[in-house]
Amino acid sequence: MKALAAARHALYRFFGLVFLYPDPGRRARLRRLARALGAEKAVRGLAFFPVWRASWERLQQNLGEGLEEVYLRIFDLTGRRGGCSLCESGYRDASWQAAAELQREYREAGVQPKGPEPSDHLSVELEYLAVLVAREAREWEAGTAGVEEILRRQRDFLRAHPCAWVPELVVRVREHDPTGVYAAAAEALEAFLEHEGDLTELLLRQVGKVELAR
Amino acid sequence: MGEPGRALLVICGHRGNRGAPWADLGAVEEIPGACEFPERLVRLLRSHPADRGVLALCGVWALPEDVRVALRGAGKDPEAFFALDPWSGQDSEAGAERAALLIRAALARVRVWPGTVPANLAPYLPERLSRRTLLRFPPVAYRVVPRVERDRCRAADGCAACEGSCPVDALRVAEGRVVLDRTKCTGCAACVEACPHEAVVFPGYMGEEVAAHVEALLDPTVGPPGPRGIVYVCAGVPWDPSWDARWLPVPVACVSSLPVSWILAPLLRGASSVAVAPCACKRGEGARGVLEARLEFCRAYLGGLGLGERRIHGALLSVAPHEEPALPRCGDGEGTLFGTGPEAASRVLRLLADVAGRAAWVEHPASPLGLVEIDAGTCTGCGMCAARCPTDALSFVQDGEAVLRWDPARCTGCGQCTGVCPEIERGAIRARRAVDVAELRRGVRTVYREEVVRCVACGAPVAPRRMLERVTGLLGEDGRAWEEVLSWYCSECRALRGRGVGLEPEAGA
Repeated sequence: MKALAAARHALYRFFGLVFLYPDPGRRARLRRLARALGAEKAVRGLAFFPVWRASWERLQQNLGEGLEEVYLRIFDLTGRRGGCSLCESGYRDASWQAAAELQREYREAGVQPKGPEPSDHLSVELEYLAVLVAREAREWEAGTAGVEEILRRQRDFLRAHPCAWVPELVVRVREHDPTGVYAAAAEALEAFLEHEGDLTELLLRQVGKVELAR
Repeated sequence: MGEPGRALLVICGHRGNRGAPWADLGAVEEIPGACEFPERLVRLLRSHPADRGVLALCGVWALPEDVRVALRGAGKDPEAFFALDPWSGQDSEAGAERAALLIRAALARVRVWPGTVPANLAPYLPERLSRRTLLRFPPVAYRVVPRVERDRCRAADGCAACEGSCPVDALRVAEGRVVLDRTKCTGCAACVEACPHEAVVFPGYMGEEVAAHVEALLDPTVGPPGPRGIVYVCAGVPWDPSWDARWLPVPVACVSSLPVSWILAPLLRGASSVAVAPCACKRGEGARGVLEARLEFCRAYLGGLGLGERRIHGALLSVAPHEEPALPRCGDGEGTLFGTGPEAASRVLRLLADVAGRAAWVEHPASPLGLVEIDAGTCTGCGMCAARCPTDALSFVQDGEAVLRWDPARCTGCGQCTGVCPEIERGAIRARRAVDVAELRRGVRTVYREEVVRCVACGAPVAPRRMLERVTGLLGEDGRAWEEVLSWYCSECRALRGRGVGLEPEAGA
């Protein structure tokens, strides 16, 4: 389970990186992460792996300098409503609400987003989930006592935030992406998040049943 | 090696030889010891360019989990590889011929495999997690579940036909969308038939797959002679050697909610009888009783047509299929007989009646079709029933006349129309679960027609005359004072001009 949590952590970081501006440093990090993920046994057996692999192959073919231009053409960085925004507030009726909720969530979890991206940016939300999954991996190592609380936090965050707006993001990316590169990545992310929603729910139901006796 | 996209056939090395009747079926690979050494199978499946296939292996009825993981890792859909033991309990020469037929049919099926997407895969964990389980990579396995195709789903228009169908409450309609909780879903397939728009996509339980499988099994040019019976079985469940070998198995995700059209359609394609093996996968435990009721309906319908209710079998598979000759093959060019919606059911039921040369009228709670009766003298033509109808069996047009039409081939007798009728207490509409062949043959008909009163100011339609009479009647003494306002003006002109009673039409109107 620890290995699975570690693999999920890497997947969150991978997707978080995909939706940031693809400067040369990030493109190199993406390549390294994808190589490690593709070889990871715990990832290869997961249901969305074929979708992830297909989307990565597509992204990899376009991972040159041209990707920066594609990114800028697709994503609306002003956060205008109706545009292809990467921020949750672009998909909520009360746009201020998302940022306020997220600030509170991060504070309660004891984390503080760094960097220029707003707190409701997709990559920040995914990075936050990566932090929670890393904590989960540590808890699995220590036993199961702290796992339940972390899983509950993950599940509730997934439902309230990325799972609530990423499906609409996928629709908008499909409309705006003439290359199909980011559309494939967004579809893979949606599949991953749905899988995460199912998995955290399942783990929550069964975590109390783990036999700790060695 | 086969070509990419082509189906691969893997034959167990114990049974295979290239002179066997499957040599002409395309990419055939024999793997000595494939049954005992799955790693040999994994090596072949990972490297082979085929993206689907049939694995005919001794004693194997479902792909082992490690083979699935390996296929997924290679970017392939493990569910597109169909495992079966076609020789189970059949060691004679006739058994080899039957095995070849089963392999051909399985190949025909995987060729139309719709593919699974991640939304079709529900993760599950072992019942009890131990430290040992936690060390496995990964501890998660998957089962195939349905998904709802958003483009076809009509929940946004108010349809909720699927909502009550799920025996484990995994499915709900919220904010115009169907939400399926995959972690609760058992994959019993009850929602598939409940959706009149065929918006539920459940690989392993799709009409095209079942049609391809049944057609191949009933191909008269191959396989052993004599009557053939089709038996639906839960996928992954081994063949019981005590069953008569003349039954030819068609695996489906679960048999517990099998649609009536699937039960009856094989009789139109050359099967002498159809059986449904008892649910052995336990997915359909919550839907107990549904199948029995449908089998009972099928028997009643065949009995009513004089085609022999004994053509439909329940659990007794140790007996041979019905000895009576098969019905004449029909249905070519008629559209699919293996759909799950009301149109496919009406097609099958009408064709059976045509074969019998008779009509039948069967009322039964498990009838896939329904009858709606409108009392044209009481109906006021409000059209609410048509707006609510999830299958568009009722359609309402209001122009020069108010016309309500009813299509018996689309009506499921769900009763949603009666729930919204404001004149239900006066008997304006009645719905029942029944099949009337005479109605099916007659087709779409007008069940209500009434003159529409037009606005004296703008000419727009106001309402059917009978509705206006009914409203003024309900208003009693006051109604007479309101009558002119209500019947002269459309709602827009009434709002613009009206200030209550005393409104007069414009001069010359």
